[in-house]
Amino acid sequence: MKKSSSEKQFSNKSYAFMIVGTAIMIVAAVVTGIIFSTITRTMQSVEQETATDYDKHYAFIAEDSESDFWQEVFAAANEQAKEYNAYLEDIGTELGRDYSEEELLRIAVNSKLDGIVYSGGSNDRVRKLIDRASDAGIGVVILQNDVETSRRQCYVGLNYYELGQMYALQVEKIVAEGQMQQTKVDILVDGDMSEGASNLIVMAMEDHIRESLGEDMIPEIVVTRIDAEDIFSAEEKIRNIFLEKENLPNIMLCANSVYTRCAYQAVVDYNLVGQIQIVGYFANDTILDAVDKQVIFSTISVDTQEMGKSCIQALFEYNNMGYTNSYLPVGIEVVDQAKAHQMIFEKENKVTEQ
Amino acid sequence: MTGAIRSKWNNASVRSKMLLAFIIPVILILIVNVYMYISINTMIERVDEIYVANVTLNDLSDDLTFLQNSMREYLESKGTAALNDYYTAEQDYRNGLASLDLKNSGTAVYAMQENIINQSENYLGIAGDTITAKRGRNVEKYKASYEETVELYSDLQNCIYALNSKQFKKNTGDYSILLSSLRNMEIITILILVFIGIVNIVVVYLMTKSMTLPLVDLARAANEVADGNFDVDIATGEGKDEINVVSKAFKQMVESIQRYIAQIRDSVMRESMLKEHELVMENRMKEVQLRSLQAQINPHFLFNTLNAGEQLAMMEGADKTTEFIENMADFFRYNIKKIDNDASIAEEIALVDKYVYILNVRFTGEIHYSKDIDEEVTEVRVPSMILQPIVENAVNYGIRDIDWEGHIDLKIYKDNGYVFLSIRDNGVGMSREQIDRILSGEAFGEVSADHAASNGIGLGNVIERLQIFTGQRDVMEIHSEGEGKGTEFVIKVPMHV
Repeated sequence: MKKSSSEKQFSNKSYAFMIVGTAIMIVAAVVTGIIFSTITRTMQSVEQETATDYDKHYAFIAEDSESDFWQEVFAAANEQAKEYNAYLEDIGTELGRDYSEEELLRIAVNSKLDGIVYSGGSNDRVRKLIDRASDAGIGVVILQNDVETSRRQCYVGLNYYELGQMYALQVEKIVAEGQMQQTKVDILVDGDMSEGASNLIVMAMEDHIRESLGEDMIPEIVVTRIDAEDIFSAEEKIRNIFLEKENLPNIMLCANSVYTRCAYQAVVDYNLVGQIQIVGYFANDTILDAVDKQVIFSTISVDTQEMGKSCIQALFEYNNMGYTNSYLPVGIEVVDQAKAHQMIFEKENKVTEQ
Repeated sequence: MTGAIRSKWNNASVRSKMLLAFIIPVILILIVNVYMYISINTMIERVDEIYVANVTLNDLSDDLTFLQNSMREYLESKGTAALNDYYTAEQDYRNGLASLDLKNSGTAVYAMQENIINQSENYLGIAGDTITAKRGRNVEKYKASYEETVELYSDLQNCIYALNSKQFKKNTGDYSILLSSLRNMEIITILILVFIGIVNIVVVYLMTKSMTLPLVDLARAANEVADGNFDVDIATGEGKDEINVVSKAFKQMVESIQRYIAQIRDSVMRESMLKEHELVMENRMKEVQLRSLQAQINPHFLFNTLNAGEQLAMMEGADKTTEFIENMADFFRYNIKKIDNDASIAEEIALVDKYVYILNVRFTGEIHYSKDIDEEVTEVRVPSMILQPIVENAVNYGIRDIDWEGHIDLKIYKDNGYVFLSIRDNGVGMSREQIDRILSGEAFGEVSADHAASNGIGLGNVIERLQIFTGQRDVMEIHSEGEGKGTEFVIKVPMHV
């Protein structure tokens, strides 16, 4: 008898398919389970991804904290804070309206944080708040412009004498290269900068030029204080200098990255490139590019990394030991055209590598 | 593996197979659905949770406003109600603070919450001092403290607002992630359900096919069997399920029916062969008769010639010759007329009388012939030409060569519904063997062989015709007591055929 037809039709292949099909369905069900539980787990971890317990809670308060300069300082400080298992809060960025540094300081003090990094104006109320913080055991580190006579724990900033000497060096170079007959130097400083600090810069410049070129070569040095009452006042005040044409300086020394940018823009706008030499402050892309093109003669680069790190180190030291250095200097260096060119090249290489 | 599963599947009962075919897909789809349900439920719960933080912060902000307002009211009016309101608001605010979700430290939200809690403690402390100063009527102090609380209040509200918007931003992000996840899950679920559905359909189709194929086959076979085709191919697998059992039983049944049909066909064939044989026998007999008749001298010619002889003898006045020739003529007429028909016993007796007369003329009265006839049976019909050949036989082999006087006695009588026709001679007799040979038909040839000497019809022929006529085998008996003691032939014919 021939093999029965149904046996033939229902071959091993069909049985195999039945088994494989069932297996596929089971696998599909299991895979669904895995996918679902993964999605659910991913959802739960969304919140916790940045969560690490911290020991200390510090606040970072800076005038114009959105600027490149302060962003770099904050990034370095934040990096250091993480190393110390501390949380550095850029206080004020989340608040609904723009708070002054003083108000932010008040909130920080009232929030009973472990430490405050402050850079801003110095008036009596600020001083009182710093003292109150100090009384409450909150460490306060001042950046950039010191709040003198306050009971702050530490000041991290430039050595203004050193800055003055560097300015002097740049002035000498400009004078040598441009063979200027009459030299007028305008130093644009922060309204918050203390009288003492600005005097120190001028003194250092005069000392340096006297030593190297002689008493006769000391140029006329003017200090223009830019009171940053609001965000746009700096730009307006710098433009005003350019509008008073008879009093135009030959050399502008900017002690702030914002002033550098404003001065640079004004020189270009008023077609005074070459007539007014600018020595800038800070070395971001725009400024480096300008130095490379010699719209800005040179710039003083502040070590933002060092600045950010130092302030957190000081706070941490104070929290743990009860004391810290009252002054931590920040390194500065001159970036001239050659150096700027090199820095741009290095940055581009880094980007390409990435 | 396939083999093992296949044999298990084959051996499973139909109920188990059907259960499997339904349960596997149902369970799988159920599992997927349960996954889906749980996951989507979890998601939805999380969506619900998302904005709880915002609600809490809004409440906190409201509580703070109420607290500040009630303090201010108390400072303005120093009313008990306002003081009560203040304490209630303070408690509410503290509760609100306690309900802040402080679980994810290290995040901006946590830091902001911490700030709010710490500022609130400060604020509550100063507010408490303000109330105490008001009670103590220390105007200057409560004024100063109040100014401070206003500042703190404003900071706090701003911080709460900032936290709220930060939470909201984050929640919105979470919400959109959740939504997209939900959408993804929906798509995955649909895809997997469709996929499982398709595979399922195929598997269930195969499972049911494996179950129903033998059934379909069986139905086809049954239809063919119903149409009369027993040579049908019935599928039986190795399995032991009910369908297979039925298939096997059906197969056995069909095989049994086929066997029975073959048996019946065999027996029918055998029967028809027998019948054929019988017909052949009859034909042969007829042929024998025909040949024997043909072998005779044309009886009509002979009869007419004899008639002419008779008239001639009559004219010559030879009475004995006339009688002799008349008897001869009658004898042959009978032969011509009766050979194919039956005749009455009386006619048969008349023929014997004529024959004995002819013989006695021929042998000059050597034969003593006597008759004892029961007249009641003379009209019974018998095959023609049955008595004369026996008498001829008795004369030729019985009494022709004896020394003593030969007798032939014809006796016809009835008994028990039969007519017996007995022809007895007192001749040489017969041995038992001879009798048996004649009765069994073996001696027919012998008789036929020398029937040239007779009128052509042998004993065998007589017996055969008697048997055909009566439908019985037992038609003749031959008795002989031995050599020299004579022989009796007894023909047995039923009264009514």
